[in-house]
Amino acid sequence: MILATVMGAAAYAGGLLTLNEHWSLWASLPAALAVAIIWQMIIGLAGLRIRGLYLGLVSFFSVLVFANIVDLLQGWTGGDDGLIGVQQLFSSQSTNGNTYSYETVVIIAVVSVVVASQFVASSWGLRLRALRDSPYGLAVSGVSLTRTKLATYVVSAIPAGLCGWCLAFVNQSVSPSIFGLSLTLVLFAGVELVGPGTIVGPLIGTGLLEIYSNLVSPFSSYNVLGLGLLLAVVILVFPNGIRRGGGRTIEALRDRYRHRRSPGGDAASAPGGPPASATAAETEAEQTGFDRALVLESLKSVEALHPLSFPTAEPLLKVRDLRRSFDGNLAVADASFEVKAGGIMALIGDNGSGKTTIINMISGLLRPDAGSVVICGQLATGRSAHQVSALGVTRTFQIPQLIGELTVRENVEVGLLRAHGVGLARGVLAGFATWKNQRMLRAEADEICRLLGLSESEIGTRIEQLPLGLRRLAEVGRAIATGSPVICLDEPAAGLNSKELHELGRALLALQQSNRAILLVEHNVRFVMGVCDDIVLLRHGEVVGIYPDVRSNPLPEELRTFFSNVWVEAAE
Amino acid sequence: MTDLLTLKGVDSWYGRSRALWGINLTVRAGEGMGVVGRNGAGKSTLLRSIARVHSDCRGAIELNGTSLARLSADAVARMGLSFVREGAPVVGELSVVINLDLARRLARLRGQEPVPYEEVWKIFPVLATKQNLRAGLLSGGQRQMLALASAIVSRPTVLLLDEPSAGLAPEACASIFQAIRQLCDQGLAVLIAEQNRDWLDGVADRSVLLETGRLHHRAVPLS
Repeated sequence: MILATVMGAAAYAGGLLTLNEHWSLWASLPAALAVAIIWQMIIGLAGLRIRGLYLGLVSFFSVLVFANIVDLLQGWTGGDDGLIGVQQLFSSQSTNGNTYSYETVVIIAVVSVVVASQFVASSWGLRLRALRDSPYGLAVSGVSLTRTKLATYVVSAIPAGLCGWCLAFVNQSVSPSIFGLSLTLVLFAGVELVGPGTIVGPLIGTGLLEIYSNLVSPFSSYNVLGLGLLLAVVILVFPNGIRRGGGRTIEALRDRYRHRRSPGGDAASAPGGPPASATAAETEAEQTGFDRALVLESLKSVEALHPLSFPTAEPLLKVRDLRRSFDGNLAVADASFEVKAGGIMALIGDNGSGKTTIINMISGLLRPDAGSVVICGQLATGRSAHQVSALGVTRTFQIPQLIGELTVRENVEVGLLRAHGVGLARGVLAGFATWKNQRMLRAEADEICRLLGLSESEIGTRIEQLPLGLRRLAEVGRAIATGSPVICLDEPAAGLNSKELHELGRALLALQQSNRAILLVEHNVRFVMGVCDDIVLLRHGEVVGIYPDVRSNPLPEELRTFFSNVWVEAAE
Repeated sequence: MTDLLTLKGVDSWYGRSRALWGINLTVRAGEGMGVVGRNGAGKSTLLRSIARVHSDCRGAIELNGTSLARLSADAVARMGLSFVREGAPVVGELSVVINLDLARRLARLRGQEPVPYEEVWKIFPVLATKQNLRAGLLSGGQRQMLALASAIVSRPTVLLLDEPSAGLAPEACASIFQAIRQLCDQGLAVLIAEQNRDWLDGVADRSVLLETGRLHHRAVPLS
């Protein structure tokens, strides 16, 4: 929404430099772009802190403020009258009266679409979607949210600046009214109308609006009125734009027709036919529960993960006297423990005993009131989430933080961004390199998904279509993809059946063999006892006890009570 | 015993892809019925279809003899069906007690006397200590408890549970599943999708296996 004023800033910069400073037309382009970027950054500063409705308000204010600034600098900008007598684009070549304005506009439009398409196809497309839909997921994968936002500002300011600059020389004048609310409305409506989230959609949308505006004449009152009405109707009828909304309506009608053709229970006539039935092994696994011996057996067939060079048994995660309270309620009281390379430690305790709070503090999403976290020998306390992640820790969430509209594979790729994503310049310019990069990311993500036992069709399914259990697995995949030596998992096994537990267990043991340190919050007793070496028991935020090597030692009384006899029965 | 919930030839779709294939199922009063199966087999879709939260489905679903086909989700809830979705949805802005009050209101809409607080606190002792806390400040497991408590308070005749043990510590699980079993014995019909057999076996008299959208009836020995 602030793009209208970004266009304005560039238009004024171009106009002023050529008119007053007598710069050549082309020399003023980079300067205009620079001004556009700077203006975008100034307005965007607010966006680093706020989101949603407030950000929208700030954007609208920027439109009003822009007009005010132009007015205040009247002597320079010409105030309401604007700059008049700006030279024409390609005026020197206009021997036959042709100014090539339209041709230039078409070329710029085509180039913009090409560049935008390939930018979105590069790892930046993924990064921006993650910023929008799962900022926490992006931060714990070690990507700075602030830097990503700043990059977005630069990338969006360039085409807007180019557009504003062109506008000045095509119109041969610059006036504040052009960059006011009606342009904001046209841009907003143009995007929303046909296909938000697509590249060609806004082009068609603004095109349609321009045709309408020329039909009723640009200066007619019906212009803005019609625009507003159209926007209201489209938002009511197709909240996701005409393209998707219309597509869905057609699909729904087709479904209705198909349902009528094939009444319930008549499976054979339905398209696609029933998917293959599950294997006998799956039914078998249904009966057995979590079996460590089976997992270890199947682990032999797993290709080893890249082992980390830490000496085994070196503590990779050290938590010292962590303390945190909420509104006077002590949630975590002086918790201390450490997890070694090649160790899997379970953090267990009653609901509300502070397990997730501890993981929040380890991953830098929550500041401790006191105490310290050391990751791979470096102090993590006091750093922001992505910096902490860069030290070598990542995590999953109880409520998975994923990009719903993207597939499992693409969500796992988010974990690869920090180490393997392309730079901003390459994202914008280098087509082939990003294509190669995409293939590499894809292959790596596929491998991780297979390690987690996800099927080909599951890997390619959008997250929003998956049940919670598989979403949790996708998040584990993203965590593995970051390559972090320390991995914190918040209830990854909730909602998994025996076969899926088996596969998750195998992935965790594979990570253990590659010398990573895993901290696991989990309530599934059999899974905890089958996978973990050591257990930390929490009660009311305090560490009650740390029990090393629980599988070889007899089960302590405290754990027996905590497990509510589930494991004791199972063991007997 | 009366058949409280009957499904005949229920199919379900998500747009073009089909999730359920001709499901036939009956849950009687006082019966605990488990649904097991791999993630993605259609367990959640089955429960969502019965509760009319997911409406892209065909076939006959009857609650105590009344067809649910043309009813909205809230009408089905008023008829006595409660559904605890996975991921513990509670009203985060409201306190624990007010969340429960909403459920008590639902009980009255159903013409029932809500379960008194004292009994709720007995099953969920942790919630008693958090009565006036905003539900959004509860831990994940405590939120799951509140969602389950709300369902129980509203005195349903049919209770659908989607992964109720997720996020719950073993001790809490034990007491909650015991409470559900007791309600069952008093005539409640429960359909429960639950992966953890340690807990499921304590509640379910029978279990059915869903495999890629198809139902396989099978007897599961009670422990």
